[in-house]
Amino acid sequence: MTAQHGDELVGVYMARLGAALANIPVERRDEIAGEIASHIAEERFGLADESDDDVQALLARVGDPVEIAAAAQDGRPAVPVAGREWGLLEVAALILTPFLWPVGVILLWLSPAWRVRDKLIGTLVPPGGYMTIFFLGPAVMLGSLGTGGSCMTETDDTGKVIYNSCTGAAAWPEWVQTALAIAGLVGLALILLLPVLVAIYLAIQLRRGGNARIRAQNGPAYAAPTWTERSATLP
Amino acid sequence: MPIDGLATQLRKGVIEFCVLALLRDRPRYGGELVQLLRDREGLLVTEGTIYPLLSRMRAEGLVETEWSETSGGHPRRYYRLSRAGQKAVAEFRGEWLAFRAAVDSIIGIGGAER
Repeated sequence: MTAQHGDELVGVYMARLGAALANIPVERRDEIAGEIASHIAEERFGLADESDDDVQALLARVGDPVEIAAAAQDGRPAVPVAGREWGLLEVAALILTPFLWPVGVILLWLSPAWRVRDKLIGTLVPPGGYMTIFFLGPAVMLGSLGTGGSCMTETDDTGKVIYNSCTGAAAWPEWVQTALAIAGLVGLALILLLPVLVAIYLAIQLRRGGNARIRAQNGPAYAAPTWTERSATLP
Repeated sequence: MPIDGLATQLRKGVIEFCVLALLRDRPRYGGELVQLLRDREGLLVTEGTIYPLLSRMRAEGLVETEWSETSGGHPRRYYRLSRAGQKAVAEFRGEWLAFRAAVDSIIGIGGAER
C-alpha cells in the first residue's frame, strides 16, 4: 500500500524547493533538485508500508526548502560570478597589437585583463609591431646603400693585382662585415618573430588571470572561502 | 551567543570535510552519504543540505561525478574524490587536530586543564 497523498506531498515539496532555489543558476538548481528528487524517491522505495505520515516525516528529514536554498547560496563560489569575462576587447587588442600597433596598444591599455607589466611588454616589445618594418625597412636599405661602399681593383696583364682600393663599408675588415650581416639577419628575425611571440605571451596571461583581474577591477567578487576563512567568520 | 545556533555554527565548514572524508575509500552516491552522516547523530545533518554542498564541491573541483546504473536500472550520480579533494581532506585533518587539541585544553577535556 502506498500513501494516499504521497505523490502529492512530494509534488508540493518539490515545487516549494524549486521556488526556494529560484536565485540559483538553472544548471545548479536542476542538479540539486534532481538529486533531492531521486533521494526522496529512493527513500520512499525503501519504505515497506508507506503512509502519509511516513512521507511527511521523510520530507521533514530532507529539510526545509528554504534551509536547503540557504545551503546552496552559502558556499557562493559555485554561483557564476556576475561580471564581465574577457572577450571582444581583449581579442581585438591581441590581434591589433602586432598588426595595427597604435590601435592595438590603446585597446591593450584600456583592458583591465592585463597587468601593467604585461602592457609594457606588449607596448615596447617591439614598439610598433609589424608596422616597424614599413618604417625601418626603407631606412635599413638606405643605410646599407650609404655604407655599402665599393672597391676598385687594377690588375696587370698577367692578372696580378697591382692596385686595390676600397671605400665605405667595403673597406672595413671582413669580420666586421660578417658581424654586421649576422646582426642584420638577427634583427630582421626578431622584428618578424617578436610581435607574434608577444601576442602569444599576452594570450597566455589573459587565459591565466584575465578574468580575475577584470573582476578585481569591477569590484569584489565571490571567492571560494578557505577553511580558515570560513572558521574565522564564526562568532 | 545564542546557544541554540551553536550546533549549526559548529557544523558549518566541517560537514563538507566529513563528506569528503567519507569518499576516501570509494565513490558513493548522495543517498549513501546522507545515510552515513545520518548515522552520526551528533552531526545533526539536514539531509537535503548535503546536495547543495555536493553540487558546490563539484563546481569547486573537490569531487567529480559520474552516472552509474543501479541493478534496478535507474541511474545514480556517484561522487568521487578528486586530487584537490584528497588534498583538502588531508589539510583539514591537520587543522582539525590542532584546533581540537587547543579547544580541548582550554575547556578542560583530556586532562590538559591548568
